[in-house]
Amino acid sequence: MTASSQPGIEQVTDPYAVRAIREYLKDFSPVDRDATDFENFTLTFRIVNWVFAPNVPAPDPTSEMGSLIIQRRVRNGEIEYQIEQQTEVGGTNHLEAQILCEDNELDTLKSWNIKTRYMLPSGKEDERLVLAESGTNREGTIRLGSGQSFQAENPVVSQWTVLHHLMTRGNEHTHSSFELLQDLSLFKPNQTLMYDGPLRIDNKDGLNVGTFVQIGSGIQPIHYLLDDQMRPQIVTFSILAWILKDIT
Amino acid sequence: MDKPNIVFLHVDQMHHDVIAAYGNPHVYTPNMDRLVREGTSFMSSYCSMPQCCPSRACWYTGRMSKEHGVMANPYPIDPNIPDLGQWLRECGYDCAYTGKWHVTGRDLTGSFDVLHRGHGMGELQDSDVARTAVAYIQNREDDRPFFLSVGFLNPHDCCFPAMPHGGPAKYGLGAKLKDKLPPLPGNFDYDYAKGGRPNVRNWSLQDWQYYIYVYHRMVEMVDCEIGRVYDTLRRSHYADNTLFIFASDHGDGLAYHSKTSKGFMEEEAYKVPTIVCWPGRVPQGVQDTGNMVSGVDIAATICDYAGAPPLPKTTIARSWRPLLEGEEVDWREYLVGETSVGRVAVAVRTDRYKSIMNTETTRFYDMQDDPLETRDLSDEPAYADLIRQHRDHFREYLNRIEVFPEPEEGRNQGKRGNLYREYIEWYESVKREV
Repeated sequence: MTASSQPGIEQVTDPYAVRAIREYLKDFSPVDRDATDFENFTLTFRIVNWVFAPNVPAPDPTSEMGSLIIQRRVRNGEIEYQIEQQTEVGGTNHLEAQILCEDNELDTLKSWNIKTRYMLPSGKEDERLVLAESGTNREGTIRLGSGQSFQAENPVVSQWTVLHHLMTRGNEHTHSSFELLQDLSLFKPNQTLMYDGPLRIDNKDGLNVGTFVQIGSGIQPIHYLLDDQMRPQIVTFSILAWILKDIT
Repeated sequence: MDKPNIVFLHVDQMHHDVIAAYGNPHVYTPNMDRLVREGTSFMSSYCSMPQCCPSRACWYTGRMSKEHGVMANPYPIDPNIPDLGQWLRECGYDCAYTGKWHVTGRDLTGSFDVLHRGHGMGELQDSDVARTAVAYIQNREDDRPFFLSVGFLNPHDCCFPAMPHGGPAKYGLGAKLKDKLPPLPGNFDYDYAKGGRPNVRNWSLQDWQYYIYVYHRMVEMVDCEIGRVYDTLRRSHYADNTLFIFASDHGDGLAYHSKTSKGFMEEEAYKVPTIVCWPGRVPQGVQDTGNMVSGVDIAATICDYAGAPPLPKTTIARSWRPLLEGEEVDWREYLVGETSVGRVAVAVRTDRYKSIMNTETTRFYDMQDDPLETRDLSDEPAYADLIRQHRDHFREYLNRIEVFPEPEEGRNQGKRGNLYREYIEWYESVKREV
């Protein structure tokens, strides 16, 4: 047998977009609330993670580790986002952000504030570890309150604001280029977002979704799974995934 | 001069060749590139033992793995051996730690002020760990000098896609990213791949390339976090008086010799990136290729800069300070590293040659002509004297270290049973060879 004719693990890991959470999806119930206003919405996600369990044969378990709320509002011609995230990782990590975006196809970032807090496993908050930051993006020049700056060649988005683009414009021809400012702090240029085909989720009722994949520097391939009403039911990173809990 | 602050920032399982500034065109690492520009890179830097816990125990105790007894991950450290946190506290330092620790058997809170306890997965912890490090630097009001240790996980998350069944990784995407997948290394064993060996790893060549692709992205993920901490430090009022050390606990197979993971003594697992920065005090943009350094030296270096005495029973570790300050110094002629993952083995590295010895065999490589370790010269008569010389170095090394003894029955034994006797008996037999 030649190397190139080996079956490879790509076949056994299919469908790769949901590989890490395939066990979790067996009991997955998609959000079925009708959503008509894709300009003003609130998305609530469960954050789950793949669990390393070397002694458990694949497929492996999944654990719920937090929550994420993304609220988008149009006010006076500006796009406002409110973000709230809480994760249980070595304690409790809180993140709150307010973001102003340009009113364009990608909701490109304009200015933002972000604050994080960390609570010890005992529940006590460590005041020294509160971090408040701000930033602006002026025609591709990103300046953080800390003094750090980056020069973007493409539109700049965050992981929270890119969803709107798919909800309103995602289709089989989607092919977008942008820079990612992850957590409004980490500059990851040369991102590409493109359609990656249809997929049927084998949950109890079955769910058909369209999948979009984001690749680029500093990220593991990210998959966005949107149903026929363009609700972002699932987002998978590498170990992490967001599972839609509600949309209003 | 006031005692300097010290930031020791470490990553986990980073291959020595994944920094763009060193010539790798397949990764984008602007932040580590900055460290390379602003500091001195040790290009012949090796971990003391290519596995997490032993290597980290070497960093923090200044002892080799067969001296502190953590010779493999599950083996706990002797509670009586002091670590850097405890040691520098005695010297007036505010010692803080955030992120991955992983020194088996040592409660971190007894040694450091723990900021964030971290998690076993880089994707989950590294950003939070970076934020606590940034907040600590920005918000601290303590007048004491500080020693901040920052433990990032990535690219260690590669252990998950490296699982034979692929773990959580999206290998099926590889076919769609063909033009973006990096090439296999020059010493990838094509015969191995053609032979299949499905009991080991049923991966196609494309799967291997995809593994390297995701590994590179993990390196880029942690590169961003490194940049956050380093930039914060450089912009802080501590900038002029802070020594910054960057290192990895060990490397990763990364398809070299068709391997993933660590524990073995080939360069991909044994050699590590190591950079020291202190603008104005440490030469910038220097890539030191001549001096072999070891992870165990980090404790000695930190103690030296902190004005602290060396940690007890420092036998092999040497401070890098004279190298960094341009002093004429007789540096080591050879370096020894050890492993107890699989069978017990050591590597002896000299300027040009490298031998990998276990209880039965010795392999020997000319690292100048064959840096990828593809031609074992141990049967070539022309190298017999050099091989003997390496054996002498190993014996000399054994006469310098104080081997951690076999604990009493039922005490201090890890999950893999009694591995102590294995190295104790071998080392004793080597010492008796002359």
